[in-house]
Amino acid sequence: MILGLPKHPSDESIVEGILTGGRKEHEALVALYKKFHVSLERFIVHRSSGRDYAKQPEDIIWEAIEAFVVNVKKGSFTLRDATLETYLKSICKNLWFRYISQETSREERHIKYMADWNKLEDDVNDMLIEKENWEYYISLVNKLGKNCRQILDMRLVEGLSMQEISQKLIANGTFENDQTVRNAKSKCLKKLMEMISSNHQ
Amino acid sequence: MDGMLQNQIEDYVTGTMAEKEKQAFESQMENDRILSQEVDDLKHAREAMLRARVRTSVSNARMEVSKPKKGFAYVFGSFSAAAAILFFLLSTSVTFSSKKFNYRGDEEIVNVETQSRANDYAKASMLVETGKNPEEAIRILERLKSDENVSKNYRNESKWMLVVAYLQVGEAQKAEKIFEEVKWEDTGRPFSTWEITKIHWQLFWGKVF
Repeated sequence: MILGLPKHPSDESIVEGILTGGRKEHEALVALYKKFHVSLERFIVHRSSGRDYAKQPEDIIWEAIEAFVVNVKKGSFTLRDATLETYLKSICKNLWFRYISQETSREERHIKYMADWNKLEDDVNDMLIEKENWEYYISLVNKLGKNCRQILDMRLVEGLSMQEISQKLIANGTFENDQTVRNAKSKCLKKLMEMISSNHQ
Repeated sequence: MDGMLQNQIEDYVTGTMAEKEKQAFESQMENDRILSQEVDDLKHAREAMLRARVRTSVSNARMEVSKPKKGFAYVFGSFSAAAAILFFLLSTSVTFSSKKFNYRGDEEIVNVETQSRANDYAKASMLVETGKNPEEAIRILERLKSDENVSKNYRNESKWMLVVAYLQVGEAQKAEKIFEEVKWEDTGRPFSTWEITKIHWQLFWGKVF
């Protein structure tokens, strides 16, 4: 039986849930939001000019959660680096300043935020620039069909063998036999690589 | 590229390749720029897949957090809870503040009958208020409500207490009969509007059951 997260999950259990994936990952994300959204929102609002922006603190918080989850999955965040709250606040601050720097005039930015700009952490800032660069590739993945995404997710993200993928997809009736699964994977991967390489050129 | 090599590249990129095989593969990559490029390209594709998948998971979590709280079940549950509390409160015993018996005439000299009626009234009040022995309270109050020597105010007061006493013994019809009689009297009510509502409620359900 898969046990759910405790009512007040620790930072460790949230990270563990994200790494486990599936239902536990979903619970961990909800728990992460519930645990920190009040302090993060206060943190962002405190750094706002009172102007009505198209992006709300809520949007920034979810973007920060997404950036954080990617880092956990890639193994570039560990709890030895910082507590979750400190880390998320750092991402939120960078995201928020990057956003308002696009929205506000240079003069306003200079007066209101320049002091804080100097305090932005370089590594987090680099991570966010990288995140923006990935937007295009995410859009390419979203162009793949449902079956393609499922197969490539299983193979490239979850690291399942072709035999395991075939068993699952034949059992749920998506494909008829092992060979059709293998053919579909090759075709889908080729398509994705072509889309990506056409952007490189 | 043959299927076996492609499989090796995928295993390497996903980190599922055995350690010994991994070392051999890395040596092979050092001498093969094309292979090395293939690996980098697949790493890139893998990260795009990973990021797209994280976006979907985060978006699903956001949807769950933002959706209205439990919809119909929540509204229905809240309504049921509020109704249950109201029904419970309406079913609690009726409380009232009875008048202290006021002797008519010279307070220094009280005749035996008046004193006896005052004692009866006080006893009945106590019995009804505490809910102990309502049968005894009914006997006393039936006598007081018809006693011409008792003032109209205290006869009506006795009737109000009788309504409660009859409800206590589960005789809703008798309680209702007296209630219908006394509620139009101009001598005031010893109950608040809320207590009157409770009487209506308990008369209704008393008759149903």
